[in-house]
Amino acid sequence: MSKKVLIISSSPRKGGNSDILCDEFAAGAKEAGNKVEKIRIADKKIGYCTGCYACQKTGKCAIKDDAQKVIDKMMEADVIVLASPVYFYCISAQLKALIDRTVVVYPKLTNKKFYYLLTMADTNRKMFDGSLAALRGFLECYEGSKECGKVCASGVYEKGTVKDTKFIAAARKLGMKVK
Amino acid sequence: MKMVVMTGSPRPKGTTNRLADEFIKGATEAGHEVFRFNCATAKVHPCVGCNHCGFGAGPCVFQDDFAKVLAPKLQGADAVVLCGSTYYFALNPQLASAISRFYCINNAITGERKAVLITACGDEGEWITDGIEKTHEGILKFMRWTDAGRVIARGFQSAAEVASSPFVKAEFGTSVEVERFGEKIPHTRASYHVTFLVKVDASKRVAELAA
Repeated sequence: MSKKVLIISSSPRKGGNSDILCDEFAAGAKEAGNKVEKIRIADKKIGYCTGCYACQKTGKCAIKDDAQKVIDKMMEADVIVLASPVYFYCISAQLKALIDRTVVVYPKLTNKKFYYLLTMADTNRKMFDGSLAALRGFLECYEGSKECGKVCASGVYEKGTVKDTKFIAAARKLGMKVK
Repeated sequence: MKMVVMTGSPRPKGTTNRLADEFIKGATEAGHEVFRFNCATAKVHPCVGCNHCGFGAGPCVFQDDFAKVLAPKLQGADAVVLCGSTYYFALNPQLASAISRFYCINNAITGERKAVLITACGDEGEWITDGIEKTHEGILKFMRWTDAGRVIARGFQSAAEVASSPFVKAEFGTSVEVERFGEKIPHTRASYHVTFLVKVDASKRVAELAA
């Protein structure tokens, strides 16, 4: 059955390495017959959660920006792909800003399937741990979340270098797994 | 010692900022010179990976509070204190955003510095801050900074809760047992990991390690 797939690309670089992996994953998921939408966080305005908890009283965030629209799409999706470059051994602040803002729908973002696409300049793959912990911590907060697969591309730094690696095929193959 | 304390919490009276207040008090009393930078209120654009700076060779495209205010202080610092809230099991982006900008002054701030991590969270599970600590360990390795101590306060929802806890007098470097909901939960970690404390004199530990 066709799934609704939402790809959230947090690379600030259009055509950056994790952004490229998003396109490969999207191509694979489309080939497998799914309905795919990709969002680039860099095109949206998403402010930081200030921990005011107004949302718990009113159901609405006090910050007026694009976050709610993206979160609405996350709520509608069956599959959510979280893509990020590793910056200082964590996911990008841009993606973390969106994750924190999902508190507005807490705890209703349930039963989603998740895939991760990460890129990192470092060649030591152990250094993905901080970013994976951040993503897994997010899933831990929402009941029924399931991590279904990931591509962690190490040793890619300059824009576009991921193109010459095995991670391109891996991202496409992972996308094709979505059913 | 010259210390830069970078706080990320958007709540001035929240738990993490309370810990920062106490740390600064302790550090100042111990004779250190402390500069506090509030990442939540300052204008700090996250790194966008444009590499205009050439990995710290030239100026960043964003001439904001990071570049104008924080960067010169970091360059002259002997210790950097990263003090952020734990949101969704990871550092809050207000602090992470400023950390991402280390890239544009990389050459000027790598090596020969101590680093301290301070964070608080409402949840009390032992593993809640593992991700933050892994990130911190990556930063230490990459920047070639020395780990001078971590203050990890789990299980506190508010600063008032921290202040009224029996751990306000906990010594830095001790592990304690906390009784919550009628259950005794041991909090023991590596020797210099502090689990619950407010009257932190972490600066003494920093000074010890520096000596």
